[in-house]
Amino acid sequence: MLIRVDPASPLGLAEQIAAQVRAAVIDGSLRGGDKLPPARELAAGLDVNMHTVLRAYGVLRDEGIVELRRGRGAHVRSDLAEPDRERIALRRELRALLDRAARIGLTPDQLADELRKASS
Amino acid sequence: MNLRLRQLLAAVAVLQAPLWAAGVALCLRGDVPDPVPTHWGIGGEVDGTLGLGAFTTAVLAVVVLASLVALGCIARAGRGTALAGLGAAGATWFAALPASLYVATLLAAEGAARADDVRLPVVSIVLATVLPFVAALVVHRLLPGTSGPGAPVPVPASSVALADGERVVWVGQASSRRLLVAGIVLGLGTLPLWFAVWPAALATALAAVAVAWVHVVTARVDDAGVAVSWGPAQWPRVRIDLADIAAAEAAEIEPLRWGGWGYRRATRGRAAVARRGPGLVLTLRDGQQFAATVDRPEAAAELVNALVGRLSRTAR
Repeated sequence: MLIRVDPASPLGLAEQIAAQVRAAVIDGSLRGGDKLPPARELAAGLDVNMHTVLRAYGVLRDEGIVELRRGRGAHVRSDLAEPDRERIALRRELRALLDRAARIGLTPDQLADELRKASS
Repeated sequence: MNLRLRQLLAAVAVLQAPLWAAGVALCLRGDVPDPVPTHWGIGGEVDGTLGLGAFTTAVLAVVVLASLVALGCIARAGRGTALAGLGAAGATWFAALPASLYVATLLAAEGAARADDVRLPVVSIVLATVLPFVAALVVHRLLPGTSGPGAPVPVPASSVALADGERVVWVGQASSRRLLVAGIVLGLGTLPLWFAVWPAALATALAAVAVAWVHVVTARVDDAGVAVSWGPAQWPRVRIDLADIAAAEAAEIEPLRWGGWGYRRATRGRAAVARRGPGLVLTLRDGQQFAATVDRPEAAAELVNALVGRLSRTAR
């Protein structure tokens, strides 16, 4: 799979890598059970530390998107169903919303209030 | 090095075979038994002899003929003939093998009274096998490929847009369960051999491990070029420099057209083959090709073309 990073971006390198794997899972180009690139290869190709790539994979594991097993590398979770994919996409949009709220000075709590107001 | 000098050095390498054979024949003809031993059994005992005159004539005939073919190929190299380099290397090996075996035999037989007393040392067997390969490799390395480097190559089109400082990588793999199974079956098949002939068992076991090992091919495309590696540990690794790549495409790879599975060298170029099916095919600037089987290679080909484009843009 294709991964690109921009060292000048305010986002961290690990977050950039994780975001692209997440996007590939959401748009279906990575399916359940697919193997992610070996961390060593990604790190060497992007000229970043291997721990940066492993941190990105760790973030994705904590989100329930990939599973890491010693000696077998990182795989997209094979039990990942369509609703999970939707939820991953939703979380990504929420994170973008939080960033936008922070830019205009809204705390997450204030954003939640706005959300409640909008749904009532 | 210009072409003339390369051709001259290659010719010197080729001429080693007839010169050494003839020189050893002249120097040692009085010091070896006649008939000379020409074949040894597994235990090292002589089980075949030939008259010195007939042996020398046969060897020199083959060596001289193959050397002439090699020299002919060397003379044609660099004139757009793709096969001249490979032909010269092949003919060099064909000339050097009988020559080195002849030299090894006569050196071993020097001073012996009867053919049966002659023992062939392991060192000379190894040298006589390795030296022809070295000679062929030297000749092949000295001769240029199809088109000379530096020929203008159009920059390939790509759908991937790359900023100048952006870091990008593509990693893909192809694996073959069949090769893995074949390696395991071959490995299990050696088990009875361990009790009978262990050197054969060891050799077969190593081959089995190699077959199982190459069932995974990993390809990586980045701003240094393309790196292809084998096995779960991504070793060994072959690198193609980005500056040597003219263009890339995704294509169906038929193993038999590239010489088989594993790491192959065919007349059209080199290939890392794990299975039949989609792969990345690079066209190099010297006219040769390089293929690697990978799943979903389209993005890889686009990225290689974009990187080639960026390199020519920034080099300007």
